[in-house]
Amino acid sequence: MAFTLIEKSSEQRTSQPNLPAYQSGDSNPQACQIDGLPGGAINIAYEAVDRHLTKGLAHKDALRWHGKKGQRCTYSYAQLAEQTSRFASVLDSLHLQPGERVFGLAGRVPELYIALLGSLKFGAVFAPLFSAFGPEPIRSRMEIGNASVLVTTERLYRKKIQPWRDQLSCLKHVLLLDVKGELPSGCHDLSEQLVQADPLFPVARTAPEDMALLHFTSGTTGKPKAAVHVHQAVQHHIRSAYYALDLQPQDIYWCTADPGWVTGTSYGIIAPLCHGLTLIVDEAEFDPRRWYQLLQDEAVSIWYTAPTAIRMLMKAGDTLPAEYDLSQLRFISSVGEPLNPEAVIWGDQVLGLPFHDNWWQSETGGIMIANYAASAIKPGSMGLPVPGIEVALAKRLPEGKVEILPGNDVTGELVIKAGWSSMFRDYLGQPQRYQSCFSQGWYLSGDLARRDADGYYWFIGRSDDVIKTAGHLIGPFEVESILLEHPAVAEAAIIGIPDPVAGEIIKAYVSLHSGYSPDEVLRLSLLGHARKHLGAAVAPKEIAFRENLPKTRSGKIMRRLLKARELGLPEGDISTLESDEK
Amino acid sequence: MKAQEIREILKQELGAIAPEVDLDTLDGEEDLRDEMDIDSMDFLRLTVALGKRLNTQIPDEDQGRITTFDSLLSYLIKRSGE
Repeated sequence: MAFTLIEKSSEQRTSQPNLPAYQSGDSNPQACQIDGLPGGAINIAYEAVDRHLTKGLAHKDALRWHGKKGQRCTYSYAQLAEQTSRFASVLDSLHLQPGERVFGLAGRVPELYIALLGSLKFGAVFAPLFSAFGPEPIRSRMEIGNASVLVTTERLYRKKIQPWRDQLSCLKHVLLLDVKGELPSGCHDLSEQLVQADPLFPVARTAPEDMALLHFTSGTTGKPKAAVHVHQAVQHHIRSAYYALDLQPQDIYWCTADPGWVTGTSYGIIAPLCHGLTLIVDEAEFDPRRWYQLLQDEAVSIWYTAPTAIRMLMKAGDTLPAEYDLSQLRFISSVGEPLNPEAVIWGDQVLGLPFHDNWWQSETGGIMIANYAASAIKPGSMGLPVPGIEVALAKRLPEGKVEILPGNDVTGELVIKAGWSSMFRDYLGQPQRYQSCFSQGWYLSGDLARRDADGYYWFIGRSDDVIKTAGHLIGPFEVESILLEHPAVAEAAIIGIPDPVAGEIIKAYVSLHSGYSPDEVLRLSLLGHARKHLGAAVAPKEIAFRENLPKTRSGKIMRRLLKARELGLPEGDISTLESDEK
Repeated sequence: MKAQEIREILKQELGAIAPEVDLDTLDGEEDLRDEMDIDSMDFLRLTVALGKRLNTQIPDEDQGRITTFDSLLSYLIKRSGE
């Protein structure tokens, strides 16, 4: 079904858009300039926080936090500068060396934001972890990232870290941010240390190419990949937010993404602070009434959220938003997975503003393709390339080569001309895997898309077996490995099946060793096993038993075939099928 | 339906979502999502399942009122009495 173009009217605007008419070239506006540090150094924390202190923003609210239990607290830019310096000073007192890795595992609490910026200020590398991960995803990521320090809460530490902490030899220090009673042995009380720390600890003069952030992502095979990002990535964070999110100094900005994922870091912390905005952070999980209340009470003007949340809001009804004054909202956008056209239109009709979808990945570090404030929206489309970013569609050829597909009305793999500042610089410890993402100067995204006659891009699908559930990328290997550790399981395969709210949910197919019965007791045992090790975000939501899983001659399970059958789609080429599903 | 029966149904449905959790050690006043490690999708499935079992509807907009085991139980008792 074709959806009507959503045109923009200048009469509806409360401010002049940053990109009044779409252009593919970058004009490098003043608002996108970084200040930098002496000697050509660039530090993300300096650009996000400290540089604002001399520009009249010292007493402006940088962060307004809403706690689960109704608490509210604010940090001005000056207070954030002090707290992040204190955190950097704590790392110094622990004799950490610049470049060492600090991992963050916590809900959306101010201390996590301070830890991230403070780590960067010190010159350490910060790696955010999603707090809904179970012990296994946490451990494997900390091993891959060679974690020296972990910042977490007492509850998460006791539940998910303590049982195996001693086995992770690289981990030197655990900083607990909410110690109330007795401090668990081998941990530090972060609050106590912050009080004693230096409030004026200076920003590290990091080189533009120094490692700043590690973002974990998943592929079809093997363990998670740690995408390496450098300090000069901040240039693209600023520029992309200026164009694609239309950030302006007067805006109150709320990004609902968790900092455990790349959106919650690049656009939940770094970009809005670099633009000197006031940032809203909500600790609580999704709750439609709370969200509308927050949009109203904080007079949010720019809102960046995700398809799963938008679809949940749609489910909660069209009359609910009318109970709130959302008149301050001026630009709303979405990322994580393609936003269905119905949701874009729902925003326009019910909230009075259409959602602007955009596209990027952990590897790109920032938005690459977007719908813009002043440009017409084609509902369901990813939009147009961010000014200054060269996007193309390509066909893969033998021996790692690609052919760029010219013209419009074409379909191919999305590729981006390498060299933008927030491009990942490595998969930590996996240089060959990194190299295989590039060909002839292009980054190969693994996403398939179509470019229409007007140059708009439309997402088609992934070229691999990774699953996008509630906007989170999950690799089959990590889930299947845990299922195979259950004594009953002989084979396991994971696919994503369509879900009206989450986009996809994870479904596991398992075959059993002899002696085990495929019954409800075993299903619950498997589900519990997966949840205990992987956590709710990664564990399958559904489990199906099979006598045998379809395999190729070389013994590889054909997930593609399971998915086609699950969805009632054509099975495609099954010439390599050796042993079929039973 | 008696409160005790509703409590049992709630425990059964929580057990179906997060079978690894020992429900007897659950702190009824703590955030259920933290206590049981359930995400938004799990919570949605839970409310749908409870609605079916108790022949009632749990509007999405009520989510903010049912964040703990105790508040969810009280809510269900009240709703099934309506």
